[in-house]
Amino acid sequence: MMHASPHTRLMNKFIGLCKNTIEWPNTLRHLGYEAQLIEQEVSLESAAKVNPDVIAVSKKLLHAIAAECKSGSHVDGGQYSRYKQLKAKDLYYAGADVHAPDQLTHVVCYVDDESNHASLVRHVDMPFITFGTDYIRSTGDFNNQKTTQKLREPIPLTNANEPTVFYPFSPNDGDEFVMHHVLAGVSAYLTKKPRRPIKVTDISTANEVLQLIHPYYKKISTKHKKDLTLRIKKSIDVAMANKKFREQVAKIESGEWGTSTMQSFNDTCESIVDDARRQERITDFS
Amino acid sequence: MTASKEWLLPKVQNRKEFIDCLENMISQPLHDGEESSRGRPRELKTYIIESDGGFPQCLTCDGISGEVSDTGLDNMKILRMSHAGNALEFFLDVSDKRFFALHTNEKSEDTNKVIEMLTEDHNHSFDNTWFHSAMLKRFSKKRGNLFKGFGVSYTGNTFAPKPNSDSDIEDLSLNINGSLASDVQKLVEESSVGRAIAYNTVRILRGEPPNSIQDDVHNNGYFAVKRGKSVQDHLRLVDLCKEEYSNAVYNVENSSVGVKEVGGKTLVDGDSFDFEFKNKTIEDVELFISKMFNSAKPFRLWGLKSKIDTDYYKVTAVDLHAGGTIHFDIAKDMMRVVLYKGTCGNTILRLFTNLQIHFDSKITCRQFNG
Repeated sequence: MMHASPHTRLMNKFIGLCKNTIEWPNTLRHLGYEAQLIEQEVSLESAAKVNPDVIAVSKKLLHAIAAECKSGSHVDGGQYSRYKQLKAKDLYYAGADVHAPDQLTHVVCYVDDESNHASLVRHVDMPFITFGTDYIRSTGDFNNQKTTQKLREPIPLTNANEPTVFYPFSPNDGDEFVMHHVLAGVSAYLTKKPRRPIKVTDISTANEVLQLIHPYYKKISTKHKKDLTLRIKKSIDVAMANKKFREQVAKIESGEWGTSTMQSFNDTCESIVDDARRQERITDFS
Repeated sequence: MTASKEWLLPKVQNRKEFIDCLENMISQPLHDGEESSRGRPRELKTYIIESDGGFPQCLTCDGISGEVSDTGLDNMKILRMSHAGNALEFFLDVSDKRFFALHTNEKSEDTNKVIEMLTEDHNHSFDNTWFHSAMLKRFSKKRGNLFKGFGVSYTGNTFAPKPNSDSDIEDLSLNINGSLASDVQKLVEESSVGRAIAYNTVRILRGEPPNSIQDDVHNNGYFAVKRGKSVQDHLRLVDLCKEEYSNAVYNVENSSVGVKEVGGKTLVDGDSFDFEFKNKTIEDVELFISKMFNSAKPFRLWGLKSKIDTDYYKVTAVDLHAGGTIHFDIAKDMMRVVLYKGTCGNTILRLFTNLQIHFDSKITCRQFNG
């Protein structure tokens, strides 16, 4: 089985609460919340910066949730104290879209997994949304009566298949997971219309592939973009070391492909992802 | 262009000449009770095809060559194509820059083949238009339209575990036209075979006979005149369907996931398309995925799968029609689909229409009220 990093999973689970998607609770969407900003740097009055993972805004409640997804048990003290200084106006300046910004209220909320909640909660005096196997449990005051009330009861996750589609991956994800997305991106890049001269091994290709597989490309910071591009380039180089892959890419590049070529290309890509998984395990054990 | 056929379509100079020309393509009306014969060569037919890359002046793809030439009407061109020694002519309506209508009275065996080849060719980004069952039904209820019949084609073997085995495979083909059509429709839909009822055609009457038309509207955007002479009603029907379809495609694209500009702010946006298999769950999810993402028609999807839980998979897919990325979460009873901005919305309608035909006609997608 292949899993995204715990952080990417938390991102998808939280964004999923702000959507009306099948087999996943829509608790926040029901209150009017939309995941408006993802990984948006927010400048505080003091000019210090914070980077909440998701900013969900309810125009109905005129309330914003700045969500910090925490997959580990470490709390960055500096970041925590900066979050304490965050004001609703800062979120508005960062791009939160509401019709009456003066009335906007907000809360900073930690989003975590039940496996590391006990250690996190000792260091953080802020509301939590905690994802478990069977329930989502929330604690603390969300600075909005309706939100606090709605989240007070545990949200059951019976037969709920967690979404993976809203946030693809980040530099924190493992090689296997990134390789999966990169190879799909290479396939999209090779078959994109109109056809044009292409060279898969170029760094500019890695950047184009990133644009095809990351829906928030335009919002990603320059540093994050550079990190991801290099990661993609590295994945493409690993794949290009595979002779079959190289030959199939050349065939698709030339436009001489049909159904059977694409099927073989799929088999090759799956075996490269499997190799990345095996390599990741070896690295983990060593 | 190697075909030696004499080209017949005139370079019409005005709309009236164009309508007259289409009227001449329609054979004499049939009398009541008279049946049209299969393969009848001279009936007017129209195809709506989609291309978000516009319509090229010259077509070159496997086995087909074609050229577009002007008429006296800005938005009406003539498309001449050669295929396997056959020369075929179409009026090409380019008034919509993405959804093109091709009118012809060439033999349907030839034109169907050429349109199929064109929409499968990977040098161009042509695709059929895909009318799912609920959409076909809505077409037949539009103002001025009257439901006159339907065709059903369901094949259960696309996702069957062993296509060559002797075990029973559900297949159903049915065509009912005329005064009994509505009664038979009710009877079949309320019966136990209802699951297999995915429409691939509806017959629609527009206008009062004798100034009327009866068209078979197929789920792949093919309109075949069956009775009547009213070209105006045929063209109006084509436009009505095209309008509803293009709205559906644009709505899909407006729901795609990515960033959008709102009042000078860049916000993230988008929703999933949720397919629910209420009636029939997927028996073997891995097999289902291998069939759906095999790069072949009708789905035309390439995809990398990853197992994330028991009977639960993630697939990162590519639409081979235009090359965009699509993301799937697939379990036994549901499919969550997300299109990234820039991916053609036709993909979702192609998926929905063909899942109805090949998997379960009662599959629903919340966004289409299917």
